Amino acid sequence: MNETRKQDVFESMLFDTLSYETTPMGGRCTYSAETFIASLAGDLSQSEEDRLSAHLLVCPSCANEYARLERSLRQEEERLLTQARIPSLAERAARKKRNWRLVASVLPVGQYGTRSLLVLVTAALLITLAVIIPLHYLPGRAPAIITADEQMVPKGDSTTAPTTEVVAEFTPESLVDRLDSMAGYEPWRATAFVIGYLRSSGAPLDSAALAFECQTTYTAVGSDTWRTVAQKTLGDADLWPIIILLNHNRTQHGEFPPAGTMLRVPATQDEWKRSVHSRGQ
Amino acid sequence: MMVDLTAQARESRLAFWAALLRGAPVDPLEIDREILPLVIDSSQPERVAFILLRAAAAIAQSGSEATVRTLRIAIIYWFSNTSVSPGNDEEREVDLSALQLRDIIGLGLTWREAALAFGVNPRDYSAYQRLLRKLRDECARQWEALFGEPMEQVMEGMSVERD
Repeated sequence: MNETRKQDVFESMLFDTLSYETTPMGGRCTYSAETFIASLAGDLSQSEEDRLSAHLLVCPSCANEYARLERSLRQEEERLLTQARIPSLAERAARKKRNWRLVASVLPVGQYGTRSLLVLVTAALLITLAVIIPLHYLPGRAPAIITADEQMVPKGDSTTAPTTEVVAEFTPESLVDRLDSMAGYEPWRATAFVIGYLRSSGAPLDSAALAFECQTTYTAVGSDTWRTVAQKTLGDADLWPIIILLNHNRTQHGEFPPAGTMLRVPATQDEWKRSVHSRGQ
Repeated sequence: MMVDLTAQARESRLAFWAALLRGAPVDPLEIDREILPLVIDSSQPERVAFILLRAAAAIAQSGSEATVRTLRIAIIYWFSNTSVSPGNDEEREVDLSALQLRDIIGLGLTWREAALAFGVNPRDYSAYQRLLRKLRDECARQWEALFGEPMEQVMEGMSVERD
């Protein structure tokens, strides 16, 4: 064979061999969909990608599965891109026009003026509702929190909930009785009850200034009453129900405990912050 | 079992070809470790495929930068023309970024199209001819060393079978 002939024969053999190499054949598949997804996400190393690429060349079932996943991924990507796209002004105008046509289609057919009138009446109705509904829920009407019977549901028993009708005015005795009757309910219900009562009775309660989660103590003296303790510790005698709320287990029927009794009182936010700061140091 | 071994050997060879296509270093000894036990007692096409890969890896390992580039162009050209007849009227562009072996099978690229992807002179066939000669010599040398007979006889035999 001369040199050119040898070269041609070698090149033909080379093409034949590589065609043989890329002929699909059956075999054991060790690849899973997770690997295909990792490949499509670009998470495989180059050598892992080479191995997978080689396998896909000779395994038609895996190649089909890979192609299917790739198609799905592209479609999903396209869908997400379409959704994420901000519509142009022209598209938004066209959409508004479509919406108006939809509204117009449900209105009674008649003169253009009839439709306008209906739209105006509906708009007026909506505006009225928008004004009335918020007024109904202004803070001044807050006692709803203590009048709703369904809020007083005991743990595990919905049949024995106590009645919580609005009481015009509490005495220390009636308040203690009421709080005692709420023993066994979640503690926040008693707190909500007292705060609701104070708000409805117009007491100058600034609960944001009090730190109920951090309490301090006050030792009662001989001349103290619930009101004087509230005055000394909270700055307002009318807040006495809060002192009873935290100490109703230290009294019988609302009587003020004897001198020397340690009473729990809520800390002010300033005291609480000082306490946190000193603990941090 | 035989089918499994053949498939395993073929997959391994293709993975090495994919690495050569990327221009990644491939150690011929690594090929020996992984594939030689699977092909030593195998059929003639399996042996030829093994020797061809090993020779290409040896050239890539010892060749200059220009030779390695020519080999990568040749791999694109060869694999793109498996299963199809070469040549196409319309010139296509090959994007080398993230190029995988499976992406080029059946594309039927011309040498010119493959060379343009690497930015080399597409009219210069002499580099390809030199590479072919080098590869043929390397195949012959390795065949004789491994199987103890001249490769020319095998080529002649395959050529007669084709005719």
